[in-house]
Amino acid sequence: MAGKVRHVFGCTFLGMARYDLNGKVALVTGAARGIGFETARQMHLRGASVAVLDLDAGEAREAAERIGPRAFGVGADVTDEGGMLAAVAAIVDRFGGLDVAVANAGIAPPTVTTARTMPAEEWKRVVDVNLIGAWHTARAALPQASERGGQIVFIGSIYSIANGLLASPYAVSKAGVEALGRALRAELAPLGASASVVYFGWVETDLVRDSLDRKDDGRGARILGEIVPGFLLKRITAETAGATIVRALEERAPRRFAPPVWRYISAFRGLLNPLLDRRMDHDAGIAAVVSEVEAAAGQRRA
Amino acid sequence: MDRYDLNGKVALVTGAARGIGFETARQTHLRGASVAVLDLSAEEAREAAERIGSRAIGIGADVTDQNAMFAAVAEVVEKLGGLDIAVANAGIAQKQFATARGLSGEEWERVFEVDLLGVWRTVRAALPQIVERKGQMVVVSSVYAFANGMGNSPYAVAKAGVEMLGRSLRVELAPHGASASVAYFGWVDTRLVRDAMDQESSGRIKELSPEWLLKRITPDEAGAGLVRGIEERAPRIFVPKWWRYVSAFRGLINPLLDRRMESDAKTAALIRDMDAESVDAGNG
Repeated sequence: MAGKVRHVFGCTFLGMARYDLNGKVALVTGAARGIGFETARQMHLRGASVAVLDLDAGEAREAAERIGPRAFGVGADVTDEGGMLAAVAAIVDRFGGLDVAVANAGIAPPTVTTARTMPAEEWKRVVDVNLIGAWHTARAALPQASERGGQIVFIGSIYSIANGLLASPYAVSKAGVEALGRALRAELAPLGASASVVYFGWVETDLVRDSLDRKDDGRGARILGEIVPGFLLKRITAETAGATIVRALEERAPRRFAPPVWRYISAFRGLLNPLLDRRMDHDAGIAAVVSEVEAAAGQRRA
Repeated sequence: MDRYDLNGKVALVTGAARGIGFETARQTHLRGASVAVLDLSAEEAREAAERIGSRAIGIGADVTDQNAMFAAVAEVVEKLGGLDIAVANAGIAQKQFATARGLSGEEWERVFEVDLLGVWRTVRAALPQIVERKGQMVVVSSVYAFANGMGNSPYAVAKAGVEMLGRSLRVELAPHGASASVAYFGWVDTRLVRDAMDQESSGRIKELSPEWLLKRITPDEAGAGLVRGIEERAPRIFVPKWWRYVSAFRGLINPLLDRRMESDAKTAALIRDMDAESVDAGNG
């Protein structure tokens, strides 16, 4: 569905003209695979030049080759501010500027467990990559993007909204990213530039498959099945996620949700969360799961 | 749930040499608890503890230093016999309102480091005791957890993260009979708020907000609200209370307020001025 058909989902924001990606320069972090790759590929299809940034320069270059002639692979670590500044300088050197940055790079905690029993360095690392990494990406791209009336896209999550039990660093970082995107959008408005937050549920990516399906014989998926109603667990493809980001860019949307049901959950979050959180406090199934993962974490340490 | 009796309990409050932290420690002590007053300066912490009373001790530690926080909790356990309640209150604000673009990278990350990672390190150090004694972990967030962080982004980012940490912890601690609470304060008349609000750009931020929204409460009221929340093991503590309703409707109100902010000429002028001030300060 990428490329040819131009869907006009929802309304065009504030009557702002459609943002045409043709001829623009875009940077996507974490773009060697998954949502980032799809976003870069689909922007390229719409005529943008894209910088495919990933931790591993070789993988970034390979992905860029698969995308096409106006794609350029860059190796950089989003947690390293100097590295991100150098990456943006290289992009500007190559393509003559930078209009769009998609701060997509993210990791999940390697261990599904409580904040109390998660190794401290794992907890901190998730926040470093997902939140500080997004900040460094925005920070490096802002001089160019704000001068050119460009855009920064942040990847929120349903974990920006829902309780982060057993995934606290992920939820903490995604709640922070949402606040960052909202603040930046207000601050960029006078410059004719903008920021967006795109919220995803479960996307079929390595991140989700690793943390839910593969690790510990799929304990993550089983636990989620006990906590979350089935209809909220339906996974979308990376292609759909990428298309959602591209659409958000074209509409300069303040926020986009995929699956769309999360828009309504977000709208009523202030009322729903206290009720859902309280139910979780008293839920025997969740208590059993917490005990199980904490016992497993204890064994891992021993 | 039964009322949680503070009498005979041991509480640790970070950032307690003054402001909300001091008042929380003082009022917890008044209800019969022993309190550890933690602050960056050991001397100021000890002075504050002396003013509070006989069952108060002062400890100097930096909340961003995990080992110092472990050592602080060990000291509390040694001197006061255990730890039932930890209030992760220590926080800083940027020196003046500035856009994320205009702020120096170091200042942005410093606010984040203290306000989010400092809370996390307090939590990590305190949790073993708190779980063992079915106690309470209170994390101090802010109405900035849900209000737009324009001009104050690292603070808003950190406080949104702190809220999420507290919510997650509450569910994770429930099976142990322990609990976590998130405290949200509006504008409290503390040094942090006075310093930030005395700046010229802040005066302009005030112009953009209705007066009732900016009404400051005293640290005394903030501390009293917090202590009440602990006695009730409340999941959320709002002071002033009406922020509860803003929070409840945040998902509906925020998209509208954010949009208004974007298209408001006065806000745009303020942002331009903040950026100009940052360039003058050499950060732009």
